[in-house]
Amino acid sequence: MTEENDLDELRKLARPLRAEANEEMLLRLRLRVADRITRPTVLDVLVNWFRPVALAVAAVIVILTTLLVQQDQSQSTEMLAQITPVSLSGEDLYRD
Amino acid sequence: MIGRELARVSSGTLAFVFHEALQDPTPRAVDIEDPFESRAIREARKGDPTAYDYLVTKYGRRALGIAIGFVRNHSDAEDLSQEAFIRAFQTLGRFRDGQPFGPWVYRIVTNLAIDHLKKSRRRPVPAPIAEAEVSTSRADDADRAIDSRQMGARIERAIESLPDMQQVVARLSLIEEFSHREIAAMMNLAEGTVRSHLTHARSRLRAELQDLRTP
Repeated sequence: MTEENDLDELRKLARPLRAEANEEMLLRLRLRVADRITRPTVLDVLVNWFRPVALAVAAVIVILTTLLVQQDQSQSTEMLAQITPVSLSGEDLYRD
Repeated sequence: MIGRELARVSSGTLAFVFHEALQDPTPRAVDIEDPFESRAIREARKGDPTAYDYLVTKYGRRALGIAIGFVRNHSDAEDLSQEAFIRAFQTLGRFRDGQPFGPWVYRIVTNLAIDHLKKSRRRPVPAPIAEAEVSTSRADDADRAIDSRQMGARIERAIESLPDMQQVVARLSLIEEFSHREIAAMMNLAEGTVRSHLTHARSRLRAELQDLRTP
């Protein structure tokens, strides 16, 4: 008996062991895979949570920076306005 | 021709295309490129759920069958098959275009099943065995009359007694009836190595099951 014939005979003997999945199992598998594929991952959840927080923090930083810059500019303007010219021994000096 | 027709189909009708492709009763060999499958893989990479479903519907039944064959438990087999498809989809980027998806997912499910058996350290309980369609002539022979359930259990035990790799190759070849080439692709082995494992497995099984064989 050749090896291939021998294997064919073993296949015939083993055929009852072959398991076939039914329609119900296949349908369940399709639904479970679809659910896993569309379900957000931990990373997605973190990103979705972090995005609005990051936007809020960024907005606060922008507002604070703008306020500080404005305050700084108004202080500089006030300081310039307070400079008074002083003359001493014919030379012009300046004092705050 | 199908490829040209496919090219005309807009992405909005993908669900219909994949559905129609699944109705095609022509069995496709592993080495024949399926244009629907190639397209499904491309669309799945972009995250199209219809494309994922096409691939699960096409290969799910066989993947489940392989898993049940190893773990002999429908619930575990469903878990393993689900995990195999998810892993396959998560690594689609590494998948080479033009290659059939089937052997890849079968390989993942086989490896998961082997790991599962190693972890659980349970001896698989033989599943109910289908009515033997094979041994009608033998069943007629009073001397060789043997209940298909008992015979299945004996074959199962004989296969389980093989060394790990021979067992896997024997299952895939003798029970699942994959070709040497398909097993080689699934297990990432050379075809010669598959043949060698199978030759050794055959010798052992022949000795174990001598009384079941035709004279």
